[in-house]
Amino acid sequence: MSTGHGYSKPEEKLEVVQSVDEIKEDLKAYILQEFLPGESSEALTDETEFINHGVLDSLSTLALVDHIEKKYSITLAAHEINIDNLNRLPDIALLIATKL
Amino acid sequence: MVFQDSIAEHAGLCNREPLEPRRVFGRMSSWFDFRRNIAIPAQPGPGLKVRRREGAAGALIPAADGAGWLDRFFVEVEGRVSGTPLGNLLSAAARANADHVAVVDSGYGRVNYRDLYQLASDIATALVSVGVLKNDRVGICLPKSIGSVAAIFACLQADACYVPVDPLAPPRRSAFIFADCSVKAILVDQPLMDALVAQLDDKAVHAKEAIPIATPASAGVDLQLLLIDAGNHCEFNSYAANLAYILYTSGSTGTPKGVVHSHDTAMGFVNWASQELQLQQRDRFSSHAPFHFDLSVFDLYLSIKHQATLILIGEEQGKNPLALASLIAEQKISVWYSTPSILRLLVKHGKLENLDYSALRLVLYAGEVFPLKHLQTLSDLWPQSEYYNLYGPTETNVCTFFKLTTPIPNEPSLPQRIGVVCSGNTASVVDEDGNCVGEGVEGELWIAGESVHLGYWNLPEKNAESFCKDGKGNYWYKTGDLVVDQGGGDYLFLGRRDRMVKRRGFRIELGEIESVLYQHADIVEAAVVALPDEDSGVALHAFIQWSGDTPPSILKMKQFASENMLIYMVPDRFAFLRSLPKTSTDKVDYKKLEEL
Repeated sequence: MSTGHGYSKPEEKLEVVQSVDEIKEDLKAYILQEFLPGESSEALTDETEFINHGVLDSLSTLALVDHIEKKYSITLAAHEINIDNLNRLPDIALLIATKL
Repeated sequence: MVFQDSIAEHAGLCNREPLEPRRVFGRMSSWFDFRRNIAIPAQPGPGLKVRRREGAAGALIPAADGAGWLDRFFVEVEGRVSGTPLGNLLSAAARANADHVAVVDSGYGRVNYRDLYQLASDIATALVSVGVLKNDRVGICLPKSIGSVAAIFACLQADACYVPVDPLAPPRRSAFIFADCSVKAILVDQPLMDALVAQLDDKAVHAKEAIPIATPASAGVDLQLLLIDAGNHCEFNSYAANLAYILYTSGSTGTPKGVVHSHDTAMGFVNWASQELQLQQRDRFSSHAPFHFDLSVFDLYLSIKHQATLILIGEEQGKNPLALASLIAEQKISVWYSTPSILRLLVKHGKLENLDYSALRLVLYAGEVFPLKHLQTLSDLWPQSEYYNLYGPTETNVCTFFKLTTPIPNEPSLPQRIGVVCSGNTASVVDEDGNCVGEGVEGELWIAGESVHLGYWNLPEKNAESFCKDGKGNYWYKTGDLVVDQGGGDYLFLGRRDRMVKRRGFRIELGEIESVLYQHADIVEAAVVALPDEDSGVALHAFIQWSGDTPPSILKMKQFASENMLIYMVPDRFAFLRSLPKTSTDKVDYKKLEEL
C-alpha cells in the first residue's frame, strides 16, 4: 500500500495524522471490547500484532471488516483484507484513512 | 485388532493386487516381498518382464503372519505394472483423458491429466529411489498447490502412505506428527523446511539430506524431498493392509492422533459417492478443505475418478468470503463441498446475489450441524442446487448421508438429520452397556464396514477402547456421537458423549487445548469449556489458575496459544481464577465453569 500521497503536502499532514489517531482510538476500543474482553487498554499498543499473535482469526477479521465498513461507510475489497493491512492498529487506521 | 487378521495373502508377491497387464507411461521400479526360497518369477503376468536389479541386496523381514521370513528385493517391472486402487484413478484418467484439465490453481495455472501423472511419476520415482517401501509413511508439508496434489499421488504410486499436515500449523505440532508415525521422508516446501527441521531435531528425528525435486512453475511449490533418519519402527501391523494415508485429528490427551486409512477403506467411500451423486466428467469440483482434513478425500479422488476438473482453493483464499464467492462463479464450480461454517460466511459476507452461480448443481456439507435459517438463506440464493448433509468422523469416512429436499422445509430438527447409512457400512445404536437399542431410543452410534479406518497409529489402548468386535467377527467403531433412529435407519444426531467440540467445522478436543496451556511455566491449572456462539458454533473459554501474583495480559496468553496450537483452537476468552471449582471427587467442575 502506498502511503506517500497523504504525507506529501505539509498542510495536509496534520489533518491526516489526527484522523488516523482518532480512527486508532475507535478501533482500539472496538478490538478490546470484542476480541480481548478483560484486557487493559495499556496492554494494546501500536506494536501489538493481531493476526500473528492469535487476536484476530479469519472469523474475527470478518467481524472487524464489517465494523469498519459500517462505521466509516467504506468498502474493503477482497484483496485488501490481508495481513499487511490488518495486523497492527496503525496499519488498519491507515487503510481506513486512505479511503475516507 | 482389525489389522492383525488376514495376513495370509502376503505369501508370494506381497503386492495385494496381482500384476496384470496395463499400459503405463514408462517403466516402473518397486520393492516386492517374496517368500523365502521362492524364485522371483521372471514373468509374473502375461506381457510382464520382471528383473531383479543388479547388486540390490535382499532385505530379510519377518512375515507379518509369523510364518517364516520374506525376502525383499528391488525389482524392475518393465512395460506394464499394477498400481494401487487410489493411484490407479490418476493413471486411468491420464490414459483416457490425457488432455483434459485435471487441476486448476488460480494463482499458478493449470495442469492436464498427462502432465499431472508425469509429475506424480517423477516424484514417485524419487521416493522409490531413496528406498521408500510399501506402507512406509511419507510426510507432506506443502501449501495447497498442483505440486501438493502430485505429491499425494506420488506417494500412492510408490505404494507409500501419505501423512499430510497443515502447512500453517506450528512446526512443533507437525514435527510431533512426523515423529509419531516415523516417516521415512517428507515432501516439503522449501520456505517451510528450516523451521520443520529444527523441530524434528528436538524430537531426535534427524533430517539426513534434502533433495530438490524439479517441478514446473505451475506446481506452485519449491519441492524438497527430506530424508529422515528415523528408526522407522512400526508398532502398527501395517503389512496386513495397503495403507493409503494417515490423517491426524485433535487428541484429548494433548497430542494429535493418527487415523489410519487403507486403499480399501477409502475406496468404500469413493465408490459409494461416485454412484450416489452421479458425478460427471464435465463437473468442476471445489477443493476447499485442506488435504489434512478428511473432506479432501472426496475432492481429490472423486474428481479424478470421474476425470473431471479440480479447482484448488488456497489457505488464504478459503477464508475470504468475497474472494471465495467470485472464485466459485468465475470458475463455474458445479460440485461444492465444505463445512457449513464456510457456507455461512459466504451467505453473510460473500454478496452472493451479485454473481451467477447457475453452474453449481451440488452442494455437499459435512463436519457440523448447519443451522436451519442459514441453510434456508443459502438455498434461496442458490435455488438450482441439490443439498446433501454428509455425516461421518474422519475414522469412518462418510458413513451416513441425508439428501435434503428444496425448498428447505421449516422443520426444526432438520439440521440434525444425518440420514441413512452408506459407503458399505452398517450402523447400530448402542446403550452404555453395549446393548443395541431400538428405534426411538437415544444411544451411541457404532459403525462397521468398508469405509471404517484401521485404527489409530501407535495407540493400542485407544484402539482397544474405540473398537468392539462382535460374535461374527465384525469390528465396530464407536463414534462417540449420540443419535436416535427415527425409524427404518433414519438417524438424528443429538450430541457428543465426550469433550470433543466442533468449532467452525474443525474438530477440537478441549483436553488438547488444556494440555498445551499446561506447557506454560506459570499455569498451575487450566480448564477450557465450549459455550454456544451464534457466529462460530461455539466460543472457547479458558479458565486459568496462575502461579504468580499478577496474571499476565490476555494478549500474552493469546500469543502463547497461537504459537503452540492451531489457530482455531486459540480460546476466545481467558479468565484468571484464584482456584478452579472442583467436584466432590476433586475433578474440575466444568458445569460450574460453564455457568460463570
